Amino acid sequence: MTAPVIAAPATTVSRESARTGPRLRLFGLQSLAELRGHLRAPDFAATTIALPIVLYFIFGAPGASASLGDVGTLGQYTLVGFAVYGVLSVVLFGLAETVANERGRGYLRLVRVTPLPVSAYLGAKLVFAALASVLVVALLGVAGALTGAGMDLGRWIAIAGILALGGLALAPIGFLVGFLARPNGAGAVALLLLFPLALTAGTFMPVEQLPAVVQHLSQLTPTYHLADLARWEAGFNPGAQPLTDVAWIVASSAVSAVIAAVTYRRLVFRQFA
Amino acid sequence: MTIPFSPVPVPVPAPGLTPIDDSTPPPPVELRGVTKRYGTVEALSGIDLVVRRGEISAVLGPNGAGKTTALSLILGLCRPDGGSVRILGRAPGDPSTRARVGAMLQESGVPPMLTVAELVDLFRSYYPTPRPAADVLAAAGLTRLERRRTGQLSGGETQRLYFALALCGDPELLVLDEPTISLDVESRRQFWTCIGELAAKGTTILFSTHLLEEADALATRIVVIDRGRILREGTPADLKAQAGGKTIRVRADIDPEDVLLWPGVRRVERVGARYEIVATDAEAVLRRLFAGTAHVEEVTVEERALETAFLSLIKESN
Repeated sequence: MTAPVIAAPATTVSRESARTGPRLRLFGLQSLAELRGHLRAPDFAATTIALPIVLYFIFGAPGASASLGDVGTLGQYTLVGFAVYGVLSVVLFGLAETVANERGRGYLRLVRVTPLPVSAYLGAKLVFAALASVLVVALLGVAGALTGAGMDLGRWIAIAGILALGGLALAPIGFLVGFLARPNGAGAVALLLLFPLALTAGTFMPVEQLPAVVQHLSQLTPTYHLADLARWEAGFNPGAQPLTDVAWIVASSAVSAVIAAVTYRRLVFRQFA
Repeated sequence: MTIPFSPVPVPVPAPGLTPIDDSTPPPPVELRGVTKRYGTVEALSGIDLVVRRGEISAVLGPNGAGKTTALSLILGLCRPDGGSVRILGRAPGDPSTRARVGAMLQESGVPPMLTVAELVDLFRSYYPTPRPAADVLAAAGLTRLERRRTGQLSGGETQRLYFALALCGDPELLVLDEPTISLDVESRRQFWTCIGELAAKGTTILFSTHLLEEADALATRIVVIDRGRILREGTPADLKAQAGGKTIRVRADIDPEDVLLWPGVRRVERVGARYEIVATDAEAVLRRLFAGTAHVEEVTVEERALETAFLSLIKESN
């Protein structure tokens, strides 16, 4: 026979079942904090927002109006390359370096002690990455228009959309670097990844002009396919296979997301002081 | 008034059976036989610790004693290898537990570009029943700094910010890891006052410190911990009575083994050419020393600082 049990009064339930503040407000404030934190930081504005534009002015603007046949101008081609570069630096400096800092300096631990779900913490960073990507691409569009490499507005908006989604797809790589790198080392790791990946995206020269081995290796990277997709939208490579590109991007994103999740569980959860 | 129809009969306790007493909530902190190791280092080797509601408990120990590990387990930042950890009757990492616990950790490197008020608002949004922002800022003494970016705060101000963030959720249990480590004397006293007020309102407080003075000033209960074990537990008065006394330093021909058996002598140790005798009744020991020993030179008697008393507890255990 079981002993009768008197139920606990229901008054405590409401307090105990509410685990966080209103989710929408929480997520909004978290995303806002993420945006504020970056946009107020002069080094972020310089390395991530301004640098791709400056590099475009140096490498792309001089011969911008040179024609590449029916498809467009050299300036337009270079512009797309630097747009990919910009998104990549949002992921590597805006996400990887920030996460490495917040983890390494103890902020992530403080956040984990609160009821904030990790998904909201990382989700707000995705909101930031998407918006910062759009901002970089928009500013590059203006730079292009000023230097005679302007594009049809609708087309450029589509490219911005593709690259913002591409930024989200690359985000797990940023998180992974952030989970692994030390605060002082994250910037260096970001740079080490930035240049090879930008190379595979044809930022500095068309991929077709790279050595054959490098060309083959390039095709394994998500940035190659992201640039390929953006250039296809820009009207450059009519022979592109956008569905293959999308499949590559999604697959590599999923793989890096799994690796990042495993790393988070193994490293972040184990760390204590 | 009509009595609503109830399809389920209300259970009535059978005679002789005590109904489950729901008026006593589970203890805020309950560690049973907790062990934790990092590689080959045993950080905690079997800790039992129960913190009762409304208590201010200090976990006191030298660096590397296991204080931070114990607090990390309590906060659900890591899992014990053995034993059980229950916080407010639940698992420590549970979001509904986290909603009722506030914490201050060592070195939390908050985002430097946000202002104090923005960060406080952000943290308040995490909790179901946050404490009003003005209230949080006032309690931490940050009202005048609310528009300042956190990266521009001094060390002491940053520490107060961490305290403010710990209060945002209006916690039932406050866990503080070395909370006054970078505060000056005045801020430290202000902080102690604030902790006292929180406790008076019913908040349970558990903090770690390596300063006996702090544990003594603040805590209603002190848990002395070293090398992953709890050495003593008690009120500050208990611990001082157990470990207090005076230190006599003397150059004399004595047999330390013999002196140790004298009444009131707690410890005898040779330091260089002299002996150090720790005694609860120094006067009696001195009288006997002068009466029965041929050579007595260079005598000094010193009231033992609380710090020394605490260190001796640790020394005795090693």
